[in-house]
Amino acid sequence: MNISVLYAAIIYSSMLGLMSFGVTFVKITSNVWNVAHTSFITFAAYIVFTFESFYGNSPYLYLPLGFIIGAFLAIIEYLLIIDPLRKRGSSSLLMLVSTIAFLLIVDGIIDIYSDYLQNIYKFPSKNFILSYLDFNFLGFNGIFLFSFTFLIIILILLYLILTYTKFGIALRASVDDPILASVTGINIKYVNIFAWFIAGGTAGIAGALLPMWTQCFPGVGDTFLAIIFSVSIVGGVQQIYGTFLGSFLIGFIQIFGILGLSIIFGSSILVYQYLIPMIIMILVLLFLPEGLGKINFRKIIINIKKRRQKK
Amino acid sequence: MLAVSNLNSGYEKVHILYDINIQCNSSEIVSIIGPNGSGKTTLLKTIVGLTNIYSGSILFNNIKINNIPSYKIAKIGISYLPQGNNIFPSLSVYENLRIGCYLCNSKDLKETINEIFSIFPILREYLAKKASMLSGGERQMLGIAMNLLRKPKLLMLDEPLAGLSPLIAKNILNKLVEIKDKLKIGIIIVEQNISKVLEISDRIYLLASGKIVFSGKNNELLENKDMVKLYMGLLSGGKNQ
Repeated sequence: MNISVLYAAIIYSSMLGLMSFGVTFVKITSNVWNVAHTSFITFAAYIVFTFESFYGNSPYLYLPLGFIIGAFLAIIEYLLIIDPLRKRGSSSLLMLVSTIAFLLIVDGIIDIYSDYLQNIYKFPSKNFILSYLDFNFLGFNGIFLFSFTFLIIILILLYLILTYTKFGIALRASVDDPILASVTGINIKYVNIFAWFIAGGTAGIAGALLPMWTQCFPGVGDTFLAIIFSVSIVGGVQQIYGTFLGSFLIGFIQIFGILGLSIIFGSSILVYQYLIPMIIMILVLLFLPEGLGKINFRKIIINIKKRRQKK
Repeated sequence: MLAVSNLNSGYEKVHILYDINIQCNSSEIVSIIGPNGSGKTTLLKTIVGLTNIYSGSILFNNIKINNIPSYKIAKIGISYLPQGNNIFPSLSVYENLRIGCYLCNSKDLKETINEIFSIFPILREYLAKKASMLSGGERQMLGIAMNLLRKPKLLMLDEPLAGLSPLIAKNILNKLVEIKDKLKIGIIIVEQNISKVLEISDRIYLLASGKIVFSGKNNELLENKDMVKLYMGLLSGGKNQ
């Protein structure tokens, strides 16, 4: 196995995980497919670009700003659009459409902002990449270390919060039955705000890391829209942790799959690599409609052990 | 403690309840009975802020609680056990109890849960079990336990005996009497089948087509032959059981 390909697959999967997690989290907690999620990613990328352009330093120093801006945008979207619509009893479809409108608004703002940066400050804001500023530690790039580490940290933190804190259990209870949770004394609005905050924040972190990994431009987050939704669906929207499985499945199959296909059909096949996540999504919808998160791995392991013992 | 006066309510524009007047005091068990679709569940949902109130008032300890969000109603001491979905199935029994105690002080959590075990000792054995794995009776006990953890002043139960075997139903009713005597709280039970709750009720309201058609002591209801005949096919059904 080519180590550099494995390396690329881990970075790609980790970035997918960070980008997709919020979509699943919001779907689970608020029952909304938030299309505007990708605009948080783009916005955070521009925030990092702006600060790096003005003040220099390592772009990684501005990761917290990425988190804050992503979380801020998500809460704005929730409070101004989703919550009022919910109070009026709007359908999920209407809320989905409203998130598309919010995406277009934020994308428009980013476009104007990038024009402003280019025209006034002469920054190359229409097309930029900051990977030349990346560092190397023990042979690993910063983007590898940060994307993978953040994914693991978020996974662990989330597990601890959801399992051991009163608020985390309340959040799971709200997902189970919001009306029962509400009559139990849980303020569902706060729970939702928290979910949107975390979802937007992780999108912000993914966005802040994006310039270290790929070329950025207004609407860069939107280019991942289809893959992000594939990851969310493949991972399953019943289990938060399914997204992480989905991101690694899609990331690895896409990277290794396209490599294998390019050996057989030549490099011209590379442009079609984004078809792979779509094919995986369709297969999962056909054969495992509830996604990877629904697979009971514990039960499978117990069954395997039992079979071995019988033998 | 609870006084509902001239209440009209429903869901959006669908008017369900008409001029309802009910009352429940502490250390009292009040039963609301009536046929299917008479508005019993809507009445409880209205009290906990889950429907639209058109007119009338709901006073709890002389404070008007009309249109207060349900999580705030839980905070002031009204507890509601819905019919059917009254536990969180994906959480463990312990997590359900912890959520039942969501409004409690964290320091008192262990002690409060231990107090509940004195009423429902069986739950102690199932703490790590997923709530979805419990039987119907155990779920009902867990649901009631979750409500009691909040130390409510008023406990409202929507068909707590539905789908339970007569033995388990009797056990739960005994527990309710025990809870009323021990904790001195008011209990409102909504039931379709009067025979199940007749013995333990201090007062009964009969609801039909969204209106109260009878209110009084249980013996007064039984003496009213016409009323029983008209609305209580339920009663004879109950006697046969």
